[in-house]
Amino acid sequence: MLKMVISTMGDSVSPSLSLLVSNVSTSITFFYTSENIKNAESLQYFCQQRFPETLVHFLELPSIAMPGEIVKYAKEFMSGKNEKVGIFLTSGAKQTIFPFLINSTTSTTVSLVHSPLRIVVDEFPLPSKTVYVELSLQDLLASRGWEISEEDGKTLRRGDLVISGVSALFDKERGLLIFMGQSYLLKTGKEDEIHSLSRSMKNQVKEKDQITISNLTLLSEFFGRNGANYVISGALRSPNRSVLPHFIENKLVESSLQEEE
Amino acid sequence: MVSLFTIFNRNDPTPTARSLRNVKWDCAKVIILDMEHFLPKHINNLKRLVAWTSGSARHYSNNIDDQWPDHLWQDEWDWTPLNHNKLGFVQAKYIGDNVLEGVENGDYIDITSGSKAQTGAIIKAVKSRGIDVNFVLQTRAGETLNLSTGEITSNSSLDLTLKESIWLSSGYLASFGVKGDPANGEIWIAAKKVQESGKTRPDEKVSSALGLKRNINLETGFWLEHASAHILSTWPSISEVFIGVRLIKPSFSKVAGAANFAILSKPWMKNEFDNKFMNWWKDDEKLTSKENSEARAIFYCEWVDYLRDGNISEKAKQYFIESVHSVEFDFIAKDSESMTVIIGECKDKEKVTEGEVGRIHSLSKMVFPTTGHPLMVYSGRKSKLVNGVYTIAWPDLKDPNIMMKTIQEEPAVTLEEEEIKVPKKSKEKVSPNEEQLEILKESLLLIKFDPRSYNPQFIELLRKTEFGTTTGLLSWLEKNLADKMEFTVDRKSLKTTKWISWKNNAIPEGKESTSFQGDEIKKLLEKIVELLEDIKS
Repeated sequence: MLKMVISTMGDSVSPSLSLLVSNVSTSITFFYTSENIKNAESLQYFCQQRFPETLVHFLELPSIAMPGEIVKYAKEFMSGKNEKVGIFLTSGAKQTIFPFLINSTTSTTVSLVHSPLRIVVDEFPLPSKTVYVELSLQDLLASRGWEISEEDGKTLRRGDLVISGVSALFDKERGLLIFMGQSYLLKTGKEDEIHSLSRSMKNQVKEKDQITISNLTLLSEFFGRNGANYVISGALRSPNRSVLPHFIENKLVESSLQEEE
Repeated sequence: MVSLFTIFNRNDPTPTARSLRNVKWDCAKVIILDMEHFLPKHINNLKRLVAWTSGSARHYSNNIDDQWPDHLWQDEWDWTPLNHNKLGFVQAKYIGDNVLEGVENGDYIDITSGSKAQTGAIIKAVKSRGIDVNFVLQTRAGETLNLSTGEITSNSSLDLTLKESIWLSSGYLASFGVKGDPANGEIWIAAKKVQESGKTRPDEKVSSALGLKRNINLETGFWLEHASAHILSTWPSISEVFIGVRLIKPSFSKVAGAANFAILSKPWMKNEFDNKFMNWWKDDEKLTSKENSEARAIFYCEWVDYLRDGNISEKAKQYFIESVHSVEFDFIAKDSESMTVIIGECKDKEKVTEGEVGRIHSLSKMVFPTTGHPLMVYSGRKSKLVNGVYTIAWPDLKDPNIMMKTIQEEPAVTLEEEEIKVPKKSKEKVSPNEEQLEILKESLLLIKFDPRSYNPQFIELLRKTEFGTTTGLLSWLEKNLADKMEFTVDRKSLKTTKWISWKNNAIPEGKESTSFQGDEIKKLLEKIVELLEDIKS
């Protein structure tokens, strides 16, 4: 077991949670930039509730817009470390985590690998150590302050924020968090009528789909655009289809049609 | 002698190119990892990088028929080459000893490209050798960050130019019109603005202030492209901006086909070329579909050879160059702070339509999927976010923070809300006359050899010919031309080149597009190495 592991916080929730679950160290330090303060607060609260035995520290780095200052900070932090420190490479931007590895003489690396999900500790010249991890959807959501409502199992809640109509899924094999909504046409079984909707129906479809898009966009602010997959299944009409944010995927089901121009 | 080691970024060669351009090296080594598992797009990205290092996309294609003849290639499409005698490529399955052979104290290792696991492995490999190197990274803000010391070097004068960025990220050659000039931008900013039927126009005195001999013609929309680009060039973050940007495919035979189509639709151009090639293609009913297709392919070969021979007038050359592009933008600007590209469309109108906003959005994402930002500039009064696209009243462009302010201060607009105010005409459905039918057939046959998406590319192609309404076109094509021309339409793939499948896809000998399967990949890689050898020699 490593005496200490350090990690920087990124958009994705599964790396940080995997590190905590793996027990590869009893002392973990999470670094976060000022841009990430909201996520750091959520994770800190979650750790206190869920991992009271693990010594978890949270330290603030300079802003991501000041990468030179981050390097200097990392250099100073690592300069006093004589023990073997595990540096978790999977989470955070390259310019936030690699300065710790580059400016260290005694560290080793820790990584999260998927299919199946496992933490790998490099113990060169000895063989690497592998710890398989299992994460729950509830924990993943809770680490960013969200929960699934117990009443219907479909409503996502974070304090006063309530999102219904978007399902949260977790692909355990790949460690992928997925938020999925349905297009209004799919939900109402009217995909085949996409070319013959009345004007009022068109407006209704547009409005309902905009709510789903807006809910997914809101979730991306908590889980990161690259930190989870965001999907709308079923046919969308223009303008929603043509201006869908790039991180939201529109997955057509077999019967879906696309409107021609 | 300082060496640079950098990993090839297989998903987009731009970061690798940035490190090769921005780090000062005497010799450089590009590390290509896990090549055996490259997908076709990775191979294309590698080919583009190799071509980029040579300073030109002219010899990008291995097929001799696709290479450009000297008299039609434009020097403005080239850029500064790298020092090839000192540049090497090394392949490896993973980071091992051969990859870092020759690394010495004081060398540079750029970690911008490559996965974190690969980067971690390279750092550990260097450390295990006890060598003191400079690990550097290219930031999104256009700087080189030294990860060992924290030192930051600005790349402003060295970084990739707009045409290099376009080539690397999209594989198009770029032809630019007028360059945005901050001095002219200040004149446009200071010009008196007048309101005319809801539109904001410049006072005519702006023409003399700009030193023009004639007054600007406000009846055509070109003035707005100039005003927008020049004003945008005053923004501190904008390093380059050009008006009238045309994107051209690097394959000569493909652009020749596209040019034939464009020239045919412009009568004043036709006279400069051999009459033999200046008629709409007519299917001979006596021939089978396959024979017709082969005859057409032969016609194109002859057209390509005719152009390649060079026995054409200077005017014809000029018309040809003006007709070779696949995509055209009113202006493009490079933001060197965010390393993004602003794709601009101008509309001298009081209101923009849903289609206009959607089109610039689709085109920008098609050419620059990750770094492109669509910007609509119009002569209406209010700047706003319309259907996710910044739609800016041109006088507001004087403020470099206008886009940010638009989000913060103005509620986003969806276009149908606005359209309700204007009485809407019922949309006219497509019903092609004889001439339109010829255009349709010609366009379809063109995209058979030079595949394009239905929307926006095929629609754009028709729009260039002033085809008219395209409402209901897809259904019309399916009903009236699909059987006759032997194709099927996949409505789920309208934004890709796969929207149309041809039952008979006869391509004349020597014109086959490369299939990237199995052994083909290996052969292509060998060709890349050969190409590199050629470049070096």
